[in-house]
Amino acid sequence: MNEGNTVTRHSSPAAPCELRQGRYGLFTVRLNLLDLGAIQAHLSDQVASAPGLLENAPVVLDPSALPELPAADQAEDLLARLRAAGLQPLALAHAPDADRDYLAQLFRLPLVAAEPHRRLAKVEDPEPAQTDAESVAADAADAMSVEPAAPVLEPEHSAPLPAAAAPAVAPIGGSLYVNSPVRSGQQVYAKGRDLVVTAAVSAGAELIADGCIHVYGRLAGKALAGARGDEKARIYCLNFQPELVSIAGQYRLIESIPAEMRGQAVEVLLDNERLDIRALGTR
Amino acid sequence: MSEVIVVTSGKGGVGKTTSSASIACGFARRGKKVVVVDFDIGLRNLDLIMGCERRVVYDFVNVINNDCSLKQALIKDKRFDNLSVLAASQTRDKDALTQEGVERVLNGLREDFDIIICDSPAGIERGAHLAMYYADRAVVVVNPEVSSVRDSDRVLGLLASKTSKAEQGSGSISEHLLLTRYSPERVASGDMMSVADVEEILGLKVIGVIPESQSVLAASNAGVPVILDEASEAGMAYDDAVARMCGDERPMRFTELKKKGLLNRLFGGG
Repeated sequence: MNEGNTVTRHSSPAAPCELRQGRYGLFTVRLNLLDLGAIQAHLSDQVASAPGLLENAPVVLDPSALPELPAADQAEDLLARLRAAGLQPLALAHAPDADRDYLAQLFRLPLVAAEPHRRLAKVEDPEPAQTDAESVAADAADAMSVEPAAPVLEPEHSAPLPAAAAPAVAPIGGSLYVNSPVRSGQQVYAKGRDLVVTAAVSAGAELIADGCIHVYGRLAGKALAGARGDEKARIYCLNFQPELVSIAGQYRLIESIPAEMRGQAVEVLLDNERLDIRALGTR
Repeated sequence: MSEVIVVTSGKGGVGKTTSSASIACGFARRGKKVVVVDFDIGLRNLDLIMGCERRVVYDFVNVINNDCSLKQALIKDKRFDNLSVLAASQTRDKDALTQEGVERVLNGLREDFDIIICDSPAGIERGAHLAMYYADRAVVVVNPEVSSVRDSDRVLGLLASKTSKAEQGSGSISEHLLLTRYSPERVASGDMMSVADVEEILGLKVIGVIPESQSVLAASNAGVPVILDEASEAGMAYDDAVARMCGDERPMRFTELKKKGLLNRLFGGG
């Protein structure tokens, strides 16, 4: 039960979870050119066009189409610009094998093998055994919602830009309190602090906090704590039935959550970079 | 004090228009001045269910565009003097609705009616958004199956955030859950969600449970809202739901599996 589903473990394309990743609202930003100013401008426009959907949306970076690897200062600048555009970079996807470790270190982000296009292509494979009709439908619906957030950047003239160091954002303390149900399609983000929800969180809803997350109703949606990389963040929940839980980018889907934890009061924490789910009140 | 009640669901085909018509008649039968407005521009149905399709001259879009007055567009029901219908346009689409236009029409209706029922189109786009935007109360119609429940959850979220009341922070819309097409037999055999399942997932108590019934289809085809068919279980269940919306307490009927007697077995229930 302590088998943490760390994201790096799923990096092999043959990993069984690959088909499911991307269903959970983690939008992908595919990078085509290292024109940081243009990237920021483009993403800002995207966020402005659909703020309800995209503001503070967790995103996965896909650097596989970049012609050259970014330098350290460019990586920092890129992350800062994504945040300035209103997005929350959460992980890396599809780093070329040879550069994977370099990129992960450079961006200080975990690696995932999630990508909607590839996953959908998989669905069309002559091996549809694992995809029942409902999951395909759900995938298609999610691919649509992913669309506005996975912009294909127009190739433009790239000009070297002065690198502005990203200010490290530390939690500023306090909590965001939510006392009404968080329903399917709704997203709550506690920027720089903890999130306390006293009502139910429906399937299809999403909680994101830079600090800890506490849920006193039924948690049937997603909960992402430590969204800016705080590995000490934790999730507390009295009725644990989530679609996904994540701390600092390390996540587990419902399928890898032990059945005996479902519906229980639990604590979710990172223990040696592994996501651990513990029953509350047993110690 | 007039009240705008939206009947919505997210998902299509769950019984919004059937419910709108019956709820409107239920309030009218209790002596309220009622108007029921079809927001499903382009897919006009409410007039059929209300049985006034031959009397539609002007519609909602005509009023918004100032082609006619509100009074000219209102169709008086033949059964209740205190019930009117504002039909949708069949030849336009949802873009014909403007926020200012809808607000103006609803404000006009508020002057003359106690209850304004807005029959929302399916989906969560413009038509549905405008139907719920000015509501004081919402009836969320849900079928006992997973996709309808999920869509209703989404709609409940929108009611709590994307309405005039929510945006101006002037209180919240009161939400009613109306469970339709319920079949106790199929719940007992395990292939339909129970009332308790739906209530648990959505975190709301139901205001009424309408049993699946042959009489609903017959009533729709005849243009007589099913609530007026006092012999049918669906009609009685709608009347219970309206009574509860008015604050009465009524025990829930037709939600338990009933033992069929010989006569029932021979002639069928319904």
